[in-house]
Amino acid sequence: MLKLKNVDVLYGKFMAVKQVSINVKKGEIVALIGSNGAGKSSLLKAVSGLCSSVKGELIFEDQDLKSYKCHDRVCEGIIHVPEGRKLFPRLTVMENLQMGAYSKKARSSSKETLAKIFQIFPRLEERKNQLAYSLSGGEQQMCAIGRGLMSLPKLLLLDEPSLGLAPNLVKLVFDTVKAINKEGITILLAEQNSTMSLKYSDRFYILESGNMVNEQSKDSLASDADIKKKYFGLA
Amino acid sequence: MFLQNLVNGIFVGAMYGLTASGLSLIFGVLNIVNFAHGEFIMIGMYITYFAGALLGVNPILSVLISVPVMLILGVLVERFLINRIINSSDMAQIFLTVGLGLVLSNLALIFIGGNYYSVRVGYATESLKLGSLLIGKASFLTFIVTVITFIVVSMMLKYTFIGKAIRATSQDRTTAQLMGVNTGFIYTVAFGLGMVLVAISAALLTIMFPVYPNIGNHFVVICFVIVVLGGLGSLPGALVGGVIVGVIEILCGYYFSMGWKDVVPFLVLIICLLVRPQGIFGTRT
Amino acid sequence: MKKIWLTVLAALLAVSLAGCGGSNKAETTEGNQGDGGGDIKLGVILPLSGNLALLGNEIMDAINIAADMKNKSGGINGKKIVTERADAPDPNAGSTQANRLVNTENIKMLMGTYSSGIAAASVPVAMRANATYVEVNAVADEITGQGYKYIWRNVATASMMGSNASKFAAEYIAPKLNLTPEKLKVAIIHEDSSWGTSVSNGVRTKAEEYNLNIVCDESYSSKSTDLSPLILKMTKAKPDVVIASSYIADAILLQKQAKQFDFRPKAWIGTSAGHALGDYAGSLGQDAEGIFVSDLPGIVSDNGLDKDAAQLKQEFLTAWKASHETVPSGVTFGAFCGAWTFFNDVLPQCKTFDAEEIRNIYLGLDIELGSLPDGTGVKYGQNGQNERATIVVEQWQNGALVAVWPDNYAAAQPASLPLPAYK
Repeated sequence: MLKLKNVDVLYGKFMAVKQVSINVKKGEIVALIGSNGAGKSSLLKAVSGLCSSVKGELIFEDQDLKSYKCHDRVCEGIIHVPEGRKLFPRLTVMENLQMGAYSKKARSSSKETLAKIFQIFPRLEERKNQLAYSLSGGEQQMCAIGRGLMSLPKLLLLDEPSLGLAPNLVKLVFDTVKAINKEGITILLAEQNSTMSLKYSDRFYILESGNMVNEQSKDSLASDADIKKKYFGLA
Repeated sequence: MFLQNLVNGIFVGAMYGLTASGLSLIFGVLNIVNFAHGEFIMIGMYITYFAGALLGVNPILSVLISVPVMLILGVLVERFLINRIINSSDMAQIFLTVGLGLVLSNLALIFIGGNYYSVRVGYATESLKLGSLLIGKASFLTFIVTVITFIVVSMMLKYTFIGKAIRATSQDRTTAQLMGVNTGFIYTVAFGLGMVLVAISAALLTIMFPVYPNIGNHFVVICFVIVVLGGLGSLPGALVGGVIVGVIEILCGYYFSMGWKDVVPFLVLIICLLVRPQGIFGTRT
Repeated sequence: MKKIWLTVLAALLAVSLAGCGGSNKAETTEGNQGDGGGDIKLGVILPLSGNLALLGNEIMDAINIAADMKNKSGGINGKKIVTERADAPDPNAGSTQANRLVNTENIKMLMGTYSSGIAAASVPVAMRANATYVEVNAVADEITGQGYKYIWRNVATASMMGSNASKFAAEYIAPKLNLTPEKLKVAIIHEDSSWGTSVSNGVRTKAEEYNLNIVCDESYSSKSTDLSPLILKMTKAKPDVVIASSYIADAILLQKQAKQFDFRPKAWIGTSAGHALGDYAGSLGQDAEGIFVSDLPGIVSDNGLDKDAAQLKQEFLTAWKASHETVPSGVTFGAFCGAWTFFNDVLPQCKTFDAEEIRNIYLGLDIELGSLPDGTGVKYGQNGQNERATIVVEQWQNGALVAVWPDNYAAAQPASLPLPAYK
């Protein structure tokens, strides 16, 4: 579904991602793992179109993504739930969700989508008239994911969904991600929390200071003690 | 007399609020301080004046001409100039808008000349009597139009889809983009809407003030004070800030000294910045 | 694409700046003389762009008409007067332009400046370079109050303008209203820049001399967007006469708000500036009728002029009307007369054209009142102030400003006293 080949991401002269190639198949949960500053977020931004200085190939469903502007990529089915949720603080929860369904395609069926999202996140329905900044961290993350789903995405880019959440909430978030995935939405996830990512993803890529170190599936990890120790703290 | 001054202050304040609203809206969404605001007011006033002088149109009805003209002007200015510096440094933005203001006022001087033109309408100098209270018809009219304009624009921002997108963009332009909002289009819409507000306020100003190439200077400083006082980018803030400044100015002018009248808004601003730096309705960033 | 835009922008800027002047080209009023070496060059510093451009350009025209008239009648001993215009829209530009003219272009005779603020910046530059400076309109008292040796001002000072208003109130208005000067209630209001302040000082000093009853004395900013508190204060103080020193936008606003709040004194006297401009009456229409203006003399009655002066006035007006639709105001007349005296009475006596020589010529001049088209005469004090400068009171009558006082200059009788109630 999504193919990146030899991608560089530049901020001015600084190269945040160097020659990274990844591949996401339909229906998968793929995780990007690495420490802070490894280039995970930059890679997601390259896919959603927030970074304009991108070299290499970006293919989404056989189309060259680079010819689409950021806001057009949403119509094509890519939605990016950014790090730190980035809700519109002075819009209500309801308005935030409506903004998710901004693209024409999503707008026409927004009522049904909304009902579905309230089913997944009943808390959001309770709080729908509250301003977004007044939500708790967990609720904000739900709202952010819900807002992303409002666009009826094919591919959901999730950046650090567990950041700053209590452990029980982290689990809740990952369970939800899994549930969403079961509905047929492909997920590309960037996470520092490698243990959780490992548990919930089908495959993962390891990034270190902009370079891709390794590609692994869950099964192959079992045989790689080195990686296990270094990135997952497993003996 | 106190009541008379208070009423005058509220009316003046409403006029200030409306005059500042375009500046506030543009800042809120585009994050650009439009230093050419005064010159856009000047253009709006000229349109109203010429509509009256050449076509015999009443200043109030002249908005039917000035609103579309200013809207188109705003869209063009945004598309061809502002657009280019929207992500540039503050310095570039200041240079562009200040330069644009200079160009506009000098073009007016070249093509229209330095004369002071006024529309002459009876209601500019007539008053309604309410007991001993005198209410200037022009001030009252300005007040009503201001209130209606604020209600309409606020409703539009609150309930329409594009209005929500404008608010979303002003709060977080990056995320708005991620949600599929074409922010470039939103900037154009917001700038155009700002110009519509300028056109309405300019039409009302023309009732009381003569228009000449530098008339904008009379209003632009107070606009900046009000916008900062009310909270950058906040429309209700502009109205409330305007009324606060208007009332304080008038009361100070009457009970204290006319000489201090124009200094007091700055004192209020300084105090406000010390106590609440984000302005009355502003949000901390 | 970017380049194209830059070019378009640059072109736009160039157009607008060209409009602001700053042009360094010498302009002769009747084409180039070819032999530039024989010309007498005069630098003229005026606000030709910006806020003050309207009158600045009219003054430039008046000076050029004077030069033209002199050139047509043989020039200065055969030499042509050539004016070099220098646009100074603000004090900064004033000092830059003065510097350029005296130091770069080496022109040692300057004229200007309309705005006192600009003159305050440009005159010292000329004085340091020992250049002659003929001030034909700026009225601030300080210009001739600094002990400069080479400044020559033909028009009256700001305080004279103000004191004349008080004099008119005490000597003419009070008796007409059957009041003694002590009983005449006066409001003094003025914009708070250096101009308004110095005019109002003249008003106040003279009013105190006459023992007028000052019931209100207020300053305000000319950029004020609302003057209702001032009007309400006056409503409370109930003055018979208001003496106002205002620029134009504030003068118009004052009158409109006075009517709004039904404040109508028996007489309203403006002091030059805003109240004297054609746009004042144009903006107010009927509401300007009957307003007095204490001003530099504009078109005065021929009764106050000798025969030569009356003829010169006609010549000037004919030349003026060829290129203007409006009648010249007092400042414009002042510019013409100041320039004419310089061209006709000073320059022909010059050999070296240096400032010291010109000083001696100026101090030796003794021309009776009524010898110039605006009714003034010439007799300079050591400080460079023309002691025979006069001030008249004019009144808006049927949309035109006419001289009404003192009698010998009056082209019409004062009317609308007291001012009729608003319709």
